[in-house]
Amino acid sequence: MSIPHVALVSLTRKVKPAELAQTSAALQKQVLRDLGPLWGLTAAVDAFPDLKSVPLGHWPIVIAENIKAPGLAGFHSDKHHQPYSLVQYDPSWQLTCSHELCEMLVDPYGNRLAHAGSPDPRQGKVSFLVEVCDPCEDAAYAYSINGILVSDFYTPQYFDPQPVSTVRYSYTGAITKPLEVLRNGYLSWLDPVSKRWFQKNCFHGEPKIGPVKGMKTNGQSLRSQMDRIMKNPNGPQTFAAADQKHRGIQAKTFKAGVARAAEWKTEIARHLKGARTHVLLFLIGCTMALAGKGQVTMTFDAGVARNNLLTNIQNRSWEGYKPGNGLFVSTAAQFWLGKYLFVQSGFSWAQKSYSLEQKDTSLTVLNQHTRNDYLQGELGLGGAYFLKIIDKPRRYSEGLQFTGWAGVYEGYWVDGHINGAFSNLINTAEPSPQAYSYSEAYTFDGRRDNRWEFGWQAGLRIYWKDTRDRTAPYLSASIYQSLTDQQKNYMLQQIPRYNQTWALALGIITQIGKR
Amino acid sequence: MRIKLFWILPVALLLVYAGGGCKKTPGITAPQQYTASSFSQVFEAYWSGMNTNYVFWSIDTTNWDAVYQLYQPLFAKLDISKPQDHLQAFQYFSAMAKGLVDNHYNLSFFDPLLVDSVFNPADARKKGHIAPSLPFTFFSQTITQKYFDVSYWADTLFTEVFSEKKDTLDMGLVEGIIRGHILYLHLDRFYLQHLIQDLGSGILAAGWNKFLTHLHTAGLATSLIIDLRNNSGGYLEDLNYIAGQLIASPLDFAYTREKSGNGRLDYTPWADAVVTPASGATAFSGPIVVLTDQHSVSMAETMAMALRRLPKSHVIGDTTWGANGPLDTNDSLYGGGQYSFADFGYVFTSSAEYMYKNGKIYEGKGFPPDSYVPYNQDSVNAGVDVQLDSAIHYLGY
Repeated sequence: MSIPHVALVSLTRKVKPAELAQTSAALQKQVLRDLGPLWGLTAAVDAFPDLKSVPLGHWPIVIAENIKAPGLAGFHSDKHHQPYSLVQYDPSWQLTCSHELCEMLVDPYGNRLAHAGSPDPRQGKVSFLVEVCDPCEDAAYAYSINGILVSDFYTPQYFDPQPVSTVRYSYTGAITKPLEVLRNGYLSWLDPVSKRWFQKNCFHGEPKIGPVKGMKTNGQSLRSQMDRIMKNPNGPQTFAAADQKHRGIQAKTFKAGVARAAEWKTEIARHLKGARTHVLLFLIGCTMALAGKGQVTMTFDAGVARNNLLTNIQNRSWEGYKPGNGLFVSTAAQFWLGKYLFVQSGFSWAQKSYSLEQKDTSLTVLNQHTRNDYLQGELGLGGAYFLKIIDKPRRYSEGLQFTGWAGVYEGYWVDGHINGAFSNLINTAEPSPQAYSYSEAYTFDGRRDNRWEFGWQAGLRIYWKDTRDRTAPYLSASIYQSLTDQQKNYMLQQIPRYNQTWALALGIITQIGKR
Repeated sequence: MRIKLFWILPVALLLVYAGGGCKKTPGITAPQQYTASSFSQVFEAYWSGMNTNYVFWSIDTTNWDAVYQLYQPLFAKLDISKPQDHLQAFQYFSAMAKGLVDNHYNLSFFDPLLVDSVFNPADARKKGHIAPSLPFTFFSQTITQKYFDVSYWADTLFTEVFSEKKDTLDMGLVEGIIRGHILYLHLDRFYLQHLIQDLGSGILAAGWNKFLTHLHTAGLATSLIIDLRNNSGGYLEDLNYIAGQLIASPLDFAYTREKSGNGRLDYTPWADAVVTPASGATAFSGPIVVLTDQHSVSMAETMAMALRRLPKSHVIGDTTWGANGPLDTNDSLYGGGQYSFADFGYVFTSSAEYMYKNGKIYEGKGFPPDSYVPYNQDSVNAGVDVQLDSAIHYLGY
């Protein structure tokens, strides 16, 4: 899905990079949590250190000092008609960024109109310029996200014909009825009869309606022109009051952040230590196998995998899971620590399949076959036993070599495929219900699906060994038992699902290093 | 001996894993299998049943885990032997469910002390905030007399009450011609096929046949108004029975998906929702206007959405109720939907999540019209239908 990307850039050093990043995070939260659901939109908001770092296609909101005239701050469109906003750096720059962001996303090109009855009883239906923050732009109606003041904005119901007491007209609820203009706010419209622009503002106490002068049909967007014309006379004072009012929230937010940071540090340190150990083990295994002084053998095999999904759906008596088959390919290196002991590390690719099937044979519509492809890294410790069968003293001997190993593995979900059928509720052609058959790539659900799995693994390998260490074919059997849930921990009373995979493979073992 | 241990150890481990098939994972109990021995049991049955059976978790903003953490201790304090605690439990259940997006959702109770208590979150949210509904007489009298051509209105009123077994199914149909060439059809329910098949020839069948005759009379119905205002829904089979008369090939208009496991986000893939042409039907080539209002519910919304997929269709009126999920009582067939919990209560909820062909889910929001013409009480009082006027104007008459 293509979504708008907004770039927050500061041209003044008075805005610290950390402040810009925090503001970006707060604005992103405002878009995703507040503005987006109410207006049916979404966007990505990111901070950038300078204009040259802004990727192509982003709409910039630029914070600058010394903008030539107050009317130049606000919404603009460039010569390619792409939107950008200029924000004057002052104590309320974050609030202004929020204001510009909300208006930019609801009306990216500056000409969006909404139609409703005019606030002026002498006029009929008129076209309002959609500037979602202007009627409630006063800082007194702002609210706090992550300790940063952001602008209130009106909702699509703002243009409803009738007020309803429980309908939300602005995000904070400060606006209580359609077309209401709050203190220090304004609302502009075009009267199609007189073809003139009018405005209702509340800059000096009581709401006042009057014509707007200076709107032209020169190709410049309507909002850009309105921003040029309008200047709220009370901005700085009210911001200072609102900022003061929110100091307590900001202090508590900061305090909570500090406390949480301390917990995170502890938590992350614990994970880092574990991760290092794991990576270290893996690296040791690889390094030993490839560069060790001892004997090194390599194995390459391919075969079949049979996977069980270990879970519990006892409450859904009508269905059950069955194991499924897939392919299995692996390669590993064994670093021999003498004649009987080796360290093994390697990689494997396993198709872990299973089926969900209807138990009631009279209802045969439900079944789903799932195939998950995993790439696995493995590290283990093994032992060997040589059963001598042919002995040529002082020359060589031959016999059966048994090797077995156990260790850990980590799997990465690469791909998946599902196919099956279920009853289609809205296809009432006979026979009803119709079965809907499908065969498609599995769509990874990042909220639920766990891409990684970790577990134990063990295996056995048997082959005919010639002590002259020739390449030999072998048969191997191995098991991979996941200890981690297929799903993220996303809900209470979640029933875990574990893969248990058996693999049977044929391969060759060859020696790549000599004693 | 030490040598053998090196390989015996992995083999032993392998054997241990061979027993891995016996690895036990915790399970949950089906909501019907709990007993109402305590409110804790009743709560667990209801809460966990929602995890498995509720189909809108992908879009619902209710934090169901937070609901558990808040209400589990509260239910634990209730005493099932005290009548007043049953009333308190009803309050808790209502508070838990009040934000659920499924506009079909309805909580009722088998518990003798609550048997008359019903909680419908959508009703609670909308109460006092939606326009009044148009009475059937507005369609059967005002529209027929003021809008239908004189030669038609006198015999175009069809309204009847039919009984079927235990349930009473009421359905009204109004059909006629406006301005010579606009064929108008209003249905206030969707039990048409069921009732016609059940009752055989009757006044409803006669009305429907008359509509079909008008539809297929060459040169008569050049455009069509399907009026779904104040239509409270009904059976899905009417999709094919009615919309199937207007198409010559299957019409894909939406998708549904069902639950396929115990997790809140365990779903089947999306399946195409399809209208199948009625036997012998030909595609209606003229423009079609569908009228909707805030009381167009469930099947009425599905019908409006299906008709909107036709090339010359246009929806006029107001946003619909917002209950799009189809309904069925067979949770073993559809993996979720309605369920009873602990012999205490019953959850009436959609059986499948529903997404329109444009990729949007309108559950809880309602299907918006192409042209917004809200209900106008003054006009209704004056016997003027501003929404129908807009439709006629849109059709160029």
